[in-house]
This record gives sequence, structure tokens and C-alpha cells, in this order.
Amino acid sequence: MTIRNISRARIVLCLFLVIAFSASCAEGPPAFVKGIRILTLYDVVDHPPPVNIMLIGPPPNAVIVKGIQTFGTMGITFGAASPGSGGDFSFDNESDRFGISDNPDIRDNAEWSIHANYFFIVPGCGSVTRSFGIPPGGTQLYSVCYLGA
Amino acid sequence: MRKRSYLVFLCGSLVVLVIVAIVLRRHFRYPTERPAEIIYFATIGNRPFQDSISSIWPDGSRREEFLSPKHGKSYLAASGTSMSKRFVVAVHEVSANPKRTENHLFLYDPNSQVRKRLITQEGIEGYGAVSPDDSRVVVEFEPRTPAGEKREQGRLWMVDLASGSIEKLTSNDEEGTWDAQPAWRPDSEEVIFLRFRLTSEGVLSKLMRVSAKGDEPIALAEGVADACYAPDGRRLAIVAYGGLQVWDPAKDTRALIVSWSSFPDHKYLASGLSWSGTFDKIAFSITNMKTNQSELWTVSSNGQDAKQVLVENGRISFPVFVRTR
Repeated sequence: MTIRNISRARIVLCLFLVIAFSASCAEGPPAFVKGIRILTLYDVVDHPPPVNIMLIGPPPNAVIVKGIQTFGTMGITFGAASPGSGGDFSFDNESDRFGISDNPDIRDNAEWSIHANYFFIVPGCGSVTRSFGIPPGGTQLYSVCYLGA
Repeated sequence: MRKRSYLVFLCGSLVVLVIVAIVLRRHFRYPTERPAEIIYFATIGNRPFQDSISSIWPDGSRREEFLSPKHGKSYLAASGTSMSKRFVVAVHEVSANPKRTENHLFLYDPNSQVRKRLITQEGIEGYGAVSPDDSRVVVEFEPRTPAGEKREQGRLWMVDLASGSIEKLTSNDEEGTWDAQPAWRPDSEEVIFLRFRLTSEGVLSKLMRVSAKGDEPIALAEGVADACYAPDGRRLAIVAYGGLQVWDPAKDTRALIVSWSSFPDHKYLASGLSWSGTFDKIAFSITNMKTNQSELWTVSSNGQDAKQVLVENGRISFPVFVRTR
């Protein structure tokens, strides 16, 4: 290999290093997709029975409500946890000013019993417990209180 | 050997040329001049810590995510007046000890990239709105009380950016009320907000206004889910029964500019409004129930020129027009 060839090889190597560095700057470390996010909301427009209902999809006509207690306990597992899964078998949380109760460290791919308690914020809404199959990667649930005639 | 190194050199050069072409295409794809204002908004993710802050031009082009979620940290809302001025971000993160998720408001300087906590007092922090003159921030805040003591109601507090001092702006002795969703009048002299009140009929909302000096709040209207001031400081954009309305309190005239009945597959989840000072456009977001996607829209104050700016997964929240110059 001549000196000229070595020099060219170095140039190519440097170019690849620059490209690799640029690529690493463009994207930060990816966020894990995991855990259970519960959004606590309130509806005064519709008038179904006065209980809070936990849904998978977004509810209609709801505004954010804070301070809702959320609890969860894990039941049976469906298989191996996802690579990003946490190992917690329970959680005890309260929704924040954005109506969010995040529980990122739960063990996913399992059945979870989720409990939402509106009692201290909207006593008429009471509390509710539902079971959900939490898939690998986690999910989002909506806890919505309907209170009306 | 020499031929092979020529080939390697050629391939390397080609890769560099492709990357340069991609970068140039990105910069020159939209040859139009940068608008006077762009929109900052948050995308609330469908999983824990998937929330981000992005900017987009009002024509729907040049969407750029500039605060991206990382492990154990995401971004729920941003508020500011200009791309070159400091802005406030609600950061969602895991605290170390005890390990729990918390929201903290940070003041970001886009020039120096320095960020610092807005509130040093312990408590529950929510949305914060920067005043139009960039001197203060009104925040949703609930100071932490010692165990066993009566918990404070969530009220609005005012942070002075020059001194860093924080003072309570709104108060109410009535049980079962809390204040949220503050927005500034363009002259920075007044704040409007929603006061939620627990009644036997459920939670009721009332639109209130309060002097930035902290006088007694005055009720403006009931049954409001969102509100912001017009650039003239006289009219208001509100979300109330039926849809998005423009209200002039002095004349007591209301005009329904976007009827929710014209969006039969969509639902409004209270998530902030913004009225551009340059384009006479109001930005709002709605959720398409059929696709389960969130949409960012703008509409003129007379109800004309409704435009879908962006569609994406997650929940688009807290749109705010910011100046580019």
C-alpha cells in the first residue's frame, strides 16, 4: 500500500466518522415504550349513569381533572415481559395537574386490576375497579367520571 | 490495491454527497420566507414519558420536534412569546428519592441552552404561561403541606422572572374549588383562568379574570372549557357549549366561529387556545374519534379559512403562537 493510498483510506475513514457523529447528534437516545398511563378526566356534558368508567379510547367532552387516586395490582401474566418492561407488581399514584398518572415501571404483558378513586375530588363519582390486559409495551387508559341526571 | 482504494474513495464521496443533498433539500424544500409567527405545541403521548414539544409553521410545513422524550423524562407543555426569548416548559420526570413521577417547570434560554427550575418551593406544579412582556410567569401551583395538615387548593401563583420571587395570585376560601388554565391579556396587566367548583351537580367551570397585581378575581362567564385573549385585549376566544366562539364581553356579543356539529367525528378535550397577534388566526386542537388521532387546526376570527395544520398520534395540546423575529 502506498503512502497516497493510506492517505485516501484515512480520508474515507474520517468522512465515515463525521457521518456517524452527525447521525448520532441528530437523534437522542430513544424513549422506552412501556408502562401504564392513566388519564383522569371529567365530563359534565353527557349524562350516562353517575359512575366513573375506564375506557381504552378517548372519551367525549371531557376536561382534565387532577388529584384522582389510581391503584393497580398485577394478576396473571400472559408470557414474557417486553424488553423495556419494569418489574413492579403494583402501583399507587395520583393524577397530576395535567390529569396524568404515569406508572412506567410496571411489569407488562400481564393482567392488571386497575382502581380509580374520585371520591375525594368528586364524591358522586365514587370509585371503580376494572381488569385490563396490559400488552407488551404498555398502554393508555382513560378514567372518566360521568355525573349527571 | 490502488483500484480498490479508488472505489472506497468514490463510495465515501457518494455517501457524503447524498447527505449534503438531503440537508440542502431539507433547508430549501420550502422556499417561502419564514413567517412572523410559528406555533409551539406539546404532543401528549399514549404511554408514560412519550411527550414532546414541537414547532410548526402555520401553513402546516416545517414541523420540528425540539424537545424530545428521553428515558424517564418528557415534556408536557411549553409557553413563550418569541423563539429568541426564554420560554417555560413543563418537564415530566422521575424524581430520585423517593422514586415517583413529578412535573417541574423549567425556564429555558434558547440562546445559551441553559435551563433552570422556575419554582424552588416544594409543591405540585402544573401549566405555566409567560407574560407577553416576558417579565412574569403565571403558574398552576399547589405548595406541599406537612403530613397531617390540610392540603392546599390548587391556585395560580405569579413568578417574577427578574427577582425569581413567587407570590400567590388567586385565593378562595371555598372548599372544593381550584384554579387552572391561565392565559394573559396582551398588555400583561390581566390574567384569565378557569375556576372549577365542586357542586352536588358535579364540577362546574367558571371563566374568571384577575389583575396581574393580584386583586379579587371577577367572574366573566360560566360553562367555559378553554379561553384566551384576542390581540386587541378586548375580545376573547372561548370554548363553550356548541363550539369555539369569539366573545366581546363589553358588547356582550358572541359569535360561534367553529361549531362542533361540523366535526361529527371529533371531540374537544380542553388543551389550550392561542390567538395569533399577526395573522388573526386562532389555534386549537381536537381529537378524531374514528382514527384516534389528534388534529391541530387554525381558523380566522370570523370563522373563515379553517385549516387543518397537523394530524398525529398522541394528543396535541397547548398550542401557542410565538414570534420568529
